[in-house]
Amino acid sequence: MSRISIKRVFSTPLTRFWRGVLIAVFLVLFSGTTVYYLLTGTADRPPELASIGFQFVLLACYGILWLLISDWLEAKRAAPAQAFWHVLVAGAVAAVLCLGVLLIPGAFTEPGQPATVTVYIKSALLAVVVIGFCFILVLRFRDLVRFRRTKKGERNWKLLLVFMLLSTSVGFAAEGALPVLIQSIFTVSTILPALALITINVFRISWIVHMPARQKAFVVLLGLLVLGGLTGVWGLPADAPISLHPDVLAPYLIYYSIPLFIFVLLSLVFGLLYTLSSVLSLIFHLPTSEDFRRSVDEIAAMQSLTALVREAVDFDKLAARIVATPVEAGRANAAWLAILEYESGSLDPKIVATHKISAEKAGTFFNTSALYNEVAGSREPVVLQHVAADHRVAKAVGKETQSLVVAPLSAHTEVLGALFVTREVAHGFQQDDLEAIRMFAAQATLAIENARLFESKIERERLARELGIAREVQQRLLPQSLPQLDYMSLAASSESAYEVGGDYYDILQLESGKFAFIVADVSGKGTSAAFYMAEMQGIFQSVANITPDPCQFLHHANQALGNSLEKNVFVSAIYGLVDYTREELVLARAGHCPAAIVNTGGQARLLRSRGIGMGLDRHELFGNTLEVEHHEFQPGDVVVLYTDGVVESRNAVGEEFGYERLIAAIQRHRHESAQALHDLLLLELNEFRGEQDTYEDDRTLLIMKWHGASPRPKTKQRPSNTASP
Amino acid sequence: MSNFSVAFRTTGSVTILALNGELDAHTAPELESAIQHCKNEGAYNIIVSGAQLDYISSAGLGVFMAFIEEFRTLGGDIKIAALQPKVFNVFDLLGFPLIFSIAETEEAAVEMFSKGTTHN
Repeated sequence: MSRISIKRVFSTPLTRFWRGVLIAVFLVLFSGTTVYYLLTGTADRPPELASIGFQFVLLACYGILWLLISDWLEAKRAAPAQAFWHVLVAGAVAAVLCLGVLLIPGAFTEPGQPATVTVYIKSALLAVVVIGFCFILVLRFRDLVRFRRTKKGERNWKLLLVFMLLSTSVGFAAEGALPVLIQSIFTVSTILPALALITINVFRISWIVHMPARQKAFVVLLGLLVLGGLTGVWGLPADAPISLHPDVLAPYLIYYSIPLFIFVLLSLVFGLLYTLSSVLSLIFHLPTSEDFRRSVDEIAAMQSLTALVREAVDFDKLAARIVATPVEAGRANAAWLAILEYESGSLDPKIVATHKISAEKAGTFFNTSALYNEVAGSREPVVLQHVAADHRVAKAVGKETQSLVVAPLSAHTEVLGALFVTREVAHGFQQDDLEAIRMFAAQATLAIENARLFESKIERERLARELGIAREVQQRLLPQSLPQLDYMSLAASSESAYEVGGDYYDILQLESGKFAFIVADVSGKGTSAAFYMAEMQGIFQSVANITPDPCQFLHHANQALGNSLEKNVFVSAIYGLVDYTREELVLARAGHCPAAIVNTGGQARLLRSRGIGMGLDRHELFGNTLEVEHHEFQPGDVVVLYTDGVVESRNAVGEEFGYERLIAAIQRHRHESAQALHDLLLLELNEFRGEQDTYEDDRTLLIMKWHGASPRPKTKQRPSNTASP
Repeated sequence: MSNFSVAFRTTGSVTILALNGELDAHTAPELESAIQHCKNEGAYNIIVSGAQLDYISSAGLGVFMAFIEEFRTLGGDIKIAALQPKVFNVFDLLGFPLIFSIAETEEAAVEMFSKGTTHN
């Protein structure tokens, strides 16, 4: 089985086995010593040496009892109030048992006379009851003394037990086994330190601080009962045979064992003093415990508010928490929160949350706007110690709101709102209340700002996602690839200043074998321009096939756009047709930047025909003023179409790229392929612009390079195309 | 911050709005509110002077479009005067001269009002 080890035996909680063993050993020793006495020295005191050995056996016996009680109490650790209650109950039980034992007939006849058998049995029974009670007393108070454990405290407690044990040695001396001198040394060196240690330990009452006020009063009552019980025994009759008076009990204990009697005395002194110090401290603490409780509540309330700062909560929950905090912290009877409407930007604060008062009452009794305006102006709390006297408070103000503090929720740049707290008494707010309320307001401000930041972050992310989708959709409205033609090569690109833009270009191969092209620019940038750009795309894709003629197309487009464009929005465009068979370019310009044409010789031309932007005139003027421009292609001709984002691009010193630079660049690179020319133009443009990441305006570039009619017949070409004039 | 401003002047029954700086999407609302102000005051004869106007974007041009019809219905007009060549080019490209009276100088624009010449 398990190895026997001292540590196993003495460490609590005991195993079931060792508990059984210890109980058995205790019973054997207890009855054994009693029987031994009965056999050897009932008539007189036993021989001295035998007595010392006997006392050691007794001490061992009660040591086991200590262990057993300690183990028993360990299993049910007691809160401070319970500890006193347990002591009280144990005392009562012990008193009843003592009285029961005393009822057994037979008493000390005369002091010094040999005792009878019954006296010894009574002594043994009384001893076990009284010592058992003392053990419970000391062990229960041990939990209180060690409530807040410190190294020093633990040491003092252990020393106390050691010296109480050593003090019992005085009893050996008292048995007459030692000379007087040694006896005195024993007394001084053990009892005095024990008493000193008792004094030190009785002041370890830190459990009082953490006790709620009502419980304190209850513990005072229990403590007084314990004190009364311990000291009250002296008030009992001392000459009656059946009495708990010490004069009655002491002879039995002394007769039984002087060392144990000394231990009992020290235990009782400790218990008495500890109860006394506890009761007195509790009484002195009672008046301040309300303040202490308040500060504890305040910390708890603050913590719950601070927790909200960190987590993202919905605003209503946050507001409810903000108004609950001052009330829970005991700084107010009611509170409400008025804040400026975040979205609407209204300057009138609105009550968004209340605690222990209805929003209706708060709003009718107090002029929220006027009070808010005052604190928003000064950024300092307003204190109305007597609300009835203030002009911003209704005459009919209720009894439950007699004094008021309005604290601004003062953020870095603005005042978000105000926290209103009231008390049901006039002059209800002291300086410390104001400081606490100011602190709550600061925390509330932080929490609200945090919540709003979070909200706007979510909103921003949502918008970014939406714009990302819009951008993708818009990109699909632009040609995904340009047609591959033998007689002409094409290159194009479009870049928006924002996620979406108002530039548009497109190419459409018509059934007639011609192809239509468009470059358009909606005035303004961003989302609204993007919608009109999409409309423009729809118009081009549907109208160009039906009425490909430039003038007719633009006229239709102008009418279609006129129905939807806002008054201050217009669309400039260049629309044209490339006729392969006639080797001709026909285009019209509706207010757009002129197309640039450069031939192989480097001669440049800007096709600046008359024409106003679409949407500028919705009547006859548009059609009447529109001119068509023709250009006969020569091999190597380069046509460059673009939006104003190209020519109006600026460099670091604010200079525009301009038409001259554009044409010069085209002339320089006119022999390159369409794609290479496109790339080189953009490269030059970006070099000119310098270290700018984004375009300040949408920009589009479309390059067409004419190679000349191929002698080979086109695979896709229909006979009718060549036949048409 | 904004590099755009509008100065008001009155010559007889004509209000001259002298623009200064760059008129783009950001500064357009300023001109808008300036013209709106004139309208509220009942000043329907307006000359927008561009002598100090260095740049105009399409959003800036939109402001003129927003009001012109209304002013003409009210019996007034918005005339544009003294544009710098580069700015005039922007107006010209879009065909503004076909819709608006654009004068070379403020005086010429004022004269147009006194003669009662309007477009269309």
